Amino acid sequence: MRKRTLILICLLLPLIMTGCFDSHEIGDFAYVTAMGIDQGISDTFRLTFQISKFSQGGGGGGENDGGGGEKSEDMEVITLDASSLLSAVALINSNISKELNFMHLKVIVLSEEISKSGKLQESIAPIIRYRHIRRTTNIIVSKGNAEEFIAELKPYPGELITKTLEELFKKSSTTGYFYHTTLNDLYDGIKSPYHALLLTYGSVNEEDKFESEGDAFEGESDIPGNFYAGEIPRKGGSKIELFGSTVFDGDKMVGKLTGFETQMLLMVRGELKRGPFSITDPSKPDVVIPIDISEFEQPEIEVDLSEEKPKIHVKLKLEGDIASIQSGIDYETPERIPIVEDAFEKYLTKGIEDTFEKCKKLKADVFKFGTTAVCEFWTIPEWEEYNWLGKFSESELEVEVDFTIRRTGKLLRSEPIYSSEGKE
Amino acid sequence: MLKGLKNLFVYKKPSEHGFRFPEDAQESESWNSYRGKTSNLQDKSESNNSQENRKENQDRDTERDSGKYNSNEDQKDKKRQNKRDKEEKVRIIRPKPVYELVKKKDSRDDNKENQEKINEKEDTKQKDIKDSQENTPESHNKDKENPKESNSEEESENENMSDNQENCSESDETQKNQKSKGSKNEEGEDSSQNNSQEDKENDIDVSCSIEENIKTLKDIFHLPVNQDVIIREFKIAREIKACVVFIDGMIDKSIIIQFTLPQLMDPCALEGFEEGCPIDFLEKNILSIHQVVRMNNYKEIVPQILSGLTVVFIDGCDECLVMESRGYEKRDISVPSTETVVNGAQEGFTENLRTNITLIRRIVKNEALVTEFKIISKTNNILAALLYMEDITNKKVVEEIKRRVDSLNIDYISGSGMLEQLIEDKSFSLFPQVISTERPDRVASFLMDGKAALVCEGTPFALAMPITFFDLFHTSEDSNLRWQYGTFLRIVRLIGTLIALLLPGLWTALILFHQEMIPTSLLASIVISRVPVPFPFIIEFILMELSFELIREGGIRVPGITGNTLGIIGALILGQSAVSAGLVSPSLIIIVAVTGLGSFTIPNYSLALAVRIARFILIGFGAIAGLYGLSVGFTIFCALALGMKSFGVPFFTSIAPETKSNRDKIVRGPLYNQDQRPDYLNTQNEERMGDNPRGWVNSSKPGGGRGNDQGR
Amino acid sequence: MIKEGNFGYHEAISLLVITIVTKVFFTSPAILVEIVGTSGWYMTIISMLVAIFAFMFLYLLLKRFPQKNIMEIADLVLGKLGSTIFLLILGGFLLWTASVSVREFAEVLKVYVMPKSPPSFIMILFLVTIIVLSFMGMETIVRFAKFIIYILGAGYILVVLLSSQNFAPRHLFPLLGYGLDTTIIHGLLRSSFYGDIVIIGVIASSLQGYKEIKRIGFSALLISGFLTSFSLLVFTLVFPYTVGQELTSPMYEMAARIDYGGFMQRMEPLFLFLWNFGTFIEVSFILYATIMIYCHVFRIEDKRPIILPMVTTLYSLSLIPKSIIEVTSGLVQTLRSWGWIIYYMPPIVILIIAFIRKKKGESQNA
Repeated sequence: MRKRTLILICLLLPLIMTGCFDSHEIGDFAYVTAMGIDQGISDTFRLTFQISKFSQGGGGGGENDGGGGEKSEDMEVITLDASSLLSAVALINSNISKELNFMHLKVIVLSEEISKSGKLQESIAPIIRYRHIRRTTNIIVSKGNAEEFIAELKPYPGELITKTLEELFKKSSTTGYFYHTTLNDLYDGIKSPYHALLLTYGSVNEEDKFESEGDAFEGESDIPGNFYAGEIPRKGGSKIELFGSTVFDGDKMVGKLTGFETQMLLMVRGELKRGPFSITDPSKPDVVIPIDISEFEQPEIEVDLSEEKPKIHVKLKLEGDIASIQSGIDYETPERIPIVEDAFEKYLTKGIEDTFEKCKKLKADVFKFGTTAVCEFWTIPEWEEYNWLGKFSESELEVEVDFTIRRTGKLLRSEPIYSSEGKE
Repeated sequence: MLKGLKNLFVYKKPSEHGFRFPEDAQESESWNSYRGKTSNLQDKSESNNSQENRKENQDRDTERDSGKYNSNEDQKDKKRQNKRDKEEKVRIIRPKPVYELVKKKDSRDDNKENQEKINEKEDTKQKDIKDSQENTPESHNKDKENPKESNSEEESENENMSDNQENCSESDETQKNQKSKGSKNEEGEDSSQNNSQEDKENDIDVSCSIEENIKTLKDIFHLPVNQDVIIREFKIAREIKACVVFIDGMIDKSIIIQFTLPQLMDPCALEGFEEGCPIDFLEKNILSIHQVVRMNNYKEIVPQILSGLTVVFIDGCDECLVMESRGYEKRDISVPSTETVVNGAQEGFTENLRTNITLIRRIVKNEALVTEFKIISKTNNILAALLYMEDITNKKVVEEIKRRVDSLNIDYISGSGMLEQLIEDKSFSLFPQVISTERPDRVASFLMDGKAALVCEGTPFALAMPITFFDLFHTSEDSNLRWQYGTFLRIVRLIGTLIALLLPGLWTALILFHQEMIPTSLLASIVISRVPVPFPFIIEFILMELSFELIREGGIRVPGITGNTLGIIGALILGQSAVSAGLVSPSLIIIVAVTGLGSFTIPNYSLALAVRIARFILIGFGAIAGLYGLSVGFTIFCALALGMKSFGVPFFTSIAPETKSNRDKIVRGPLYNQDQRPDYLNTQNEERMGDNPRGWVNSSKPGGGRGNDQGR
Repeated sequence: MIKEGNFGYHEAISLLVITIVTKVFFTSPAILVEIVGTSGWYMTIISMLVAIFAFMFLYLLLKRFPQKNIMEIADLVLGKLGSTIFLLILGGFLLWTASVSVREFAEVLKVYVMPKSPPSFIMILFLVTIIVLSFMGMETIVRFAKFIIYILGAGYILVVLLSSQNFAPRHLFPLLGYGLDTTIIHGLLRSSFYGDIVIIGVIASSLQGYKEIKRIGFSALLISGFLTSFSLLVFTLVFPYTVGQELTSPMYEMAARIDYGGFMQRMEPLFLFLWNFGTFIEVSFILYATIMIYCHVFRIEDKRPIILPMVTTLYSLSLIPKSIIEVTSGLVQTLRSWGWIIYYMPPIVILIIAFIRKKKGESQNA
């Protein structure tokens, strides 16, 4: 036993002396929370890093951080031109006291410009090889420069930027207005023979759509959410907007979808868990009936490859509640409920068909019909030879929507309004 | 190895170990039977030995030893023979004049070796005297060196004595020796097998003359100087000279004041006595003491006196009466301080052996509970008791324990703690291999499981063996509570243990190596809290862990009741000020505190200490190579723990290696499902319960009760 | 001297299953996907069946000579010279497989966890562990396997369960991968994946009789077949075949993709422990088996002095490959595809020779 201990000590001693190659003090790093990639000017890429210092308020620490001041996060944004991420990191490391660390990178922002130029393969795909960058990092394609986007990326008051971002991306599954994508999705998408790549679309809202003065709104409401990021008529709050999605063919961006289209898309993909919709009232076109879809069943998708053109059949089954009836019309009777249901079914069918047509033109199967089509093939060579992504643009879609209203909210009936003129 | 072999050789049945004065009726029976048995034994062995001894009278010292060996020679292998030769050489080196030198104590001209030996002898003189008497034959065999020395010592001593002795004509060494041999052969009762060869100074028979006896006693106890031993001389019925000998403070005075002296000194005491030695008459008719035994050899008598018995010497008798009179001060039974429970017995052991055994016996009221006594240390004569269930415990375990205990050759043992260290399998292992408990109910349950227990004088702890990790991990409360609660407590304890062991290492690894594995929000708060800290993480951490250990240790040593409070307050203040001084990050304090709490959940003190030490090693591994280093460290610890055995039972038995067992490891099943004794103990009776332990359930279906019971 | 001791059913199965299955956590699944595409998860079942078939021969051999291990049997059947050659080949091969495992482990660990540490540092730390385990003897290795399998099992199940958020059942299609013929051929070849089962022959005398060996062998093969298949299935569900073949350690990436937001993310540490403990057991077991063979060949009683030299040899062997590419697509690939020749053929050959010299075998046996 003593001999054994001695041997152990002899063997361990050099280890202790030489060890700790990978050991780092936790404070030695500058943690990058967001990274932007733009088309470069003096070199291939322009890289923007947002570095979070995680420090709260005045810094210095101790316990005197109460003092009423907002917990605003100290952040630093560094932008530089470089030929690759690695060289950019090396350049920055030589100039700041800390080492850049991407382990807690939350979001990578790609500019629309660089996405359209088809440089994904060169710019972003290789970084998956870096040990530090996780596959769960979120990806956004920004309307303008990634640099500007990152400059506006600020935490919700009192929160860490990372928490804010995490929470923001979660919204995807409840509204469906944008699609939450990660680096893994990107990588998967550009390499996949099953489907095309779809990425989150984001933008800085310049608040130019918000008209503070003008005539009162008249006429029919637009389909809700039928616009792109940066176009929401709003004011205040974070300037960052995630809305809609971008469509890629291979690693080249070919188009973008509005928030509404993204909703339709996700519905067919079966990735929308619940969501608010509003249809124009069938009897009173100037008002809407908001409908809260509470349950989606997995859509039934069939792909028929027997003919030259693939035929796709989609069957959706939804359940929902009426959130309100602006017109006050008493739809809550068994006879009239189908009117709303039919109207909604048509609304969805049209929405999906329009979205499908748009994607068909873009030649990108973002609906993931390919994952169904693949079941028709036995071996990989057959499947790859068929080239689904090419055939997709020739395909035809048939949509069937089955919508049922289950509940009508807290009201079971709508009584008309009484005024001095009597019953309306 | 050699020792072990020797022991195996001489080992005899347990009942022959009656090496002490019987303390109650039950025991005295067995004691008597022991006497009978030893006499037989002796007859066998003595015949060999005595002849040789007589031949070798002249070179007594050497020859005694060699005689001993010769007697066993045929059985021994060559190695041992070699060793013996060596020993003999050593002995031979000592020239005879040494004894004289010892006697005179003045000549310092001799070579150093001799002198040293002499000194040693002087020191150990007293001890040796006491020592030899109660030892079993086996233990004598194991004494390698000390006996030699003491032998020479004895002789010198004896020489002194014999000069003055007239009656028994032990005027010189050789004669005396012969005499003692002879008497043994005749009587055969008092001395055991190997006494003849090994025996030490006190191997003197009681003389017929009271004066001579007193002289001998005074010599033995260094009387004029040593004022503890009291020799009260008186006359029985105003006629026969007699004396009582006892040690002041060790006895219950009323025995002597009320039941010995009045009866004996009563003028009518000898009424009805006819001729011959009055001892028989006195024992049977006069002394109203519950335990009286006759002895005739100082080798036996002296230890009895030392342990608080009273001896009556009577003129004209070559035997004396040894009376039970122990009555020293002792601590009362109190609540166990190291193993407190909420629900369960609140009695703890005390320092008194007798009390402790009574406590156990009160729980296990069964005739199969065997208690064997044995003096384990040579000089301070600490008594230990081995307890086991005759019809349950595996005989091999008992034999192994006895083998180890018997082979101890050590002057001083203070109690169970030292004994534990001397009998455990691997002293380099970090984990305890014997469980030490303060609770009689735990010992009882160990005994009923088929384990053996060692109770030792001097410490309020009993040892149980063989053990596994789970014995260290369980408390007596677990089985007292309903199984749901017991299981919950055990899970909490398991989490606590794992935290205490692994959390510091994990934390080190995460902070230094795996920043990517910390959730971002947690990372943020760590980064912020570490901003003002000037130390590198590892130094900060070790500093904090060390100061926590300091507080724990300091808290124990602080005198008075302030200790515990000081510990807690100290920790709070220290932590608080360290944080506000910017020396330590608050997150680290939490880690250290949680680790400390975790280590407090470990029920066994030894295991908790092991975990506390292992924690530091794992921090080291974590700091070398992160989680990878941690798994290396963990694997090494596991390998060492898994390779470890407690009396032949692997430490993690019933998990690795897998054995048949009840559901009683971490998750405890209902009580009636635990119908097996631990499989690894190979007990004689594996079943702990009947087929249908709860007769009222399912009484129509004998045997099938187990599965069905659970539903009800 | 270390005694091998005896060990029971559970211990032996834990040991063999860990030894076999651990390999799936490293680079081989990616290469598998490259070869057979989406059909890897049932291809391995074919491999397992082949391994079971091959194990039958080993079992028959061990049954013919009960209570003897393969070294003693080789001595009896092949004669001294023959058995020495055979055993040296087997031992050398085992040592080589161990060295490949060590190197693969070190490389993967370096890529994912410790990029700045030199591989020799990782390896030395690794080998220290192996030395300690070997010094404690086979019994301890076996017990450690039994002890740790609870942790490994829990970690494995947790990783799989948590990964279920990333499952995409359509990734299994096309079902036949690159064609049934490719799948079957590679399934047959890749039976070497289960080749470690032959070590059961080396430790045969520590197991309780040939009936027990049969039970252990078949159960171990079935369980590890199931676990391997399940791992590959899960991995195919998470990564499409196009991505899956690119990954260095697919299973680890799979664990890294677990993200339930907030705290339930970054689960790789769990997987790291699977790697570490699994490989510790795998390598120390194979190494110890090698030492047993070596000691038998050269009639060495005490194994401890052999451990250090053997580990040094292992270390040097594992440093030979130039790069991770040479390890993964060269050595590991060769081992998995052609290892069966050395794993499975010798028992069959010995069995045939034993049949031919029937009398000799029987008489020795009786």
